[in-house]
Amino acid sequence: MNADSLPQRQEDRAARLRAANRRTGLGLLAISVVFFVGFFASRMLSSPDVSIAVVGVAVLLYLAVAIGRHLRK
Amino acid sequence: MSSITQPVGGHGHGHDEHAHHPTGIMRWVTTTNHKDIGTLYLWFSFTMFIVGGIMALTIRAELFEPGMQILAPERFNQMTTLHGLIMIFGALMPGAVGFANWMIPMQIGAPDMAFARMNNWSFWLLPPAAILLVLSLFVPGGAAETGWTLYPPLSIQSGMGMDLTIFAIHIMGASSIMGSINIITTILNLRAPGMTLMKMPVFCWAWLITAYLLIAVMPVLAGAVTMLLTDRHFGTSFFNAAGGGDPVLFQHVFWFFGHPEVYIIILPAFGIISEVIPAFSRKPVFGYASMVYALSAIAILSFLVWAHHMFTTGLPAAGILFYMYATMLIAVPTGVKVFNWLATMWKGSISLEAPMMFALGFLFLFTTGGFTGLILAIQPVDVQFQDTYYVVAHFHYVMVAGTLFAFFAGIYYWLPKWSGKMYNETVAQWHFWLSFIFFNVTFFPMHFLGLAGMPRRVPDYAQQFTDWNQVATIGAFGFGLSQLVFLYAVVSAIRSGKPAPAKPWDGATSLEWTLPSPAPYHSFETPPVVK
Repeated sequence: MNADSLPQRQEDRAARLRAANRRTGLGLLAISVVFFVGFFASRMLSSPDVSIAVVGVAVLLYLAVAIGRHLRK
Repeated sequence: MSSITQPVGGHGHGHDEHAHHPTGIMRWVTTTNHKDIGTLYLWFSFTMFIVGGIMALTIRAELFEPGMQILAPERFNQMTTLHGLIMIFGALMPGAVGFANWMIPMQIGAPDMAFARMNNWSFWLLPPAAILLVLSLFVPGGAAETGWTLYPPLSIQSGMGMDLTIFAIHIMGASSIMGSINIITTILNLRAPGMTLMKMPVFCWAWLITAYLLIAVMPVLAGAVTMLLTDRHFGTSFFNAAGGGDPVLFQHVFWFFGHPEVYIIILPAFGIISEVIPAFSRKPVFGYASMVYALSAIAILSFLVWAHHMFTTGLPAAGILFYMYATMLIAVPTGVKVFNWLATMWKGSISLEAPMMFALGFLFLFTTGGFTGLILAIQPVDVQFQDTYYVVAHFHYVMVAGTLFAFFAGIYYWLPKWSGKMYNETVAQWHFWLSFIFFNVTFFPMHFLGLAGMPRRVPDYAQQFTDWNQVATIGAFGFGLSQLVFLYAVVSAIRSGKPAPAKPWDGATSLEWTLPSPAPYHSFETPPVVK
């Protein structure tokens, strides 16, 4: 192992962390955009009841998956 | 006060660490440091609390006696609208984000938030939004007079103030979403080695779940107010009955956001209380896993109960039964939390410093608000109490005595870590007792007024409601003035408090207490290892 491998490793680790942060952040942003756009789109479905039901089920599924997957760790 | 376990001087802020940063106002404008931004959020929240509080006092002054005194009816409605919007979006939510900014990185052993620049942006979106809201009072037609719920058709017919309100909500919603993305990413990716999710402090868990809720509901609110905007200006008829729209749909959508919003505000408060009670009981929190599960259950159930706000709109019987029982079901995980807090105190070595006093005040008053919530969940009862002062009393017991008392508990608890100075315990105790007494003097009589049938959002009322209204108004002014004691307690601590040790509270165990007080500008640059 040469002398500058440690700073290099730290730099690599920081880059990986930044990339992971970006992935997580973009994923969450995408979810919020989908809810915003999906809310309008759902209005094109038949009745208001169906519209709110679709959005409601989507939000519930998201929450169940998002929170549920952390509860096991 | 808890015994001093590790005396540390008041240094630690490392002035040299600031050497390459801007100073003065530019430090605060350009800062990307989570502690600076947390401080900005907290002072912004306090400022908005004062602004919203002055509006509340104006409302109460008008209601001191029957007849019209100081406000025209439309101004009265504008005041109630702005009071609600400012307190929820300007005071309570930013206050909770302030705690998150200060404490989450320190509690999980991270150097800062994951997106430091976005963190700065999240905060600096708020002041323009708040200015828009307040300025709406001065445009032609005045501010929105719909109440914070913005129901059509009035919100479609209102003047320019409604546009400013919608724009302000968009901006604050964007700020909340950015803040939530930051918090989730920080918690998921920047925890110290060894700190699994189930080892995190409950406060971090509460905020992780809150942030997920925000990501879910803020776009829905943004969608609803965008539809309002297009109904107002672009000829659409989403909610405009004249064009075939459905005003009740707005109510569904609003409360689909609005009810989880209650939990968005209260869950961080639960997190703070879950830190304070174990610290002053000198015991670990009872049933950590069940606390986390209860938080998760509350979050998910909060999406299944929105129509209990709409029991008088003509829901089908099956819907009424579903929403009634689902609402009652939320009492189960909430009861688990209250039980666990009590069990934490059971046989603990309890001491009653100001943070613990506020936590106990929270427990007592929030539970009272919870019980009146259970009463309102019963549809036949709700039909009678709909839009009466009973509802006003209920949600102020939850929002003010719940969230605000938890914030006070958190501020007194963490102020030594933030400022490096101890607050004056006597002043803080005065603040607690004055707040506790005047809060009850203000809001408890509203139960009686509501039971007697006094409607909310009216500037005038029948003669028989006078006595309790006068009591409530005196209480409101007392509660407002009590907050000057809080301001004095905080400012005097920061300016001339005794130096705080690194860990002023015996029972405090989370990572932030391993740092000196005040916490260094950059903390945990090398992540601690958690076993």
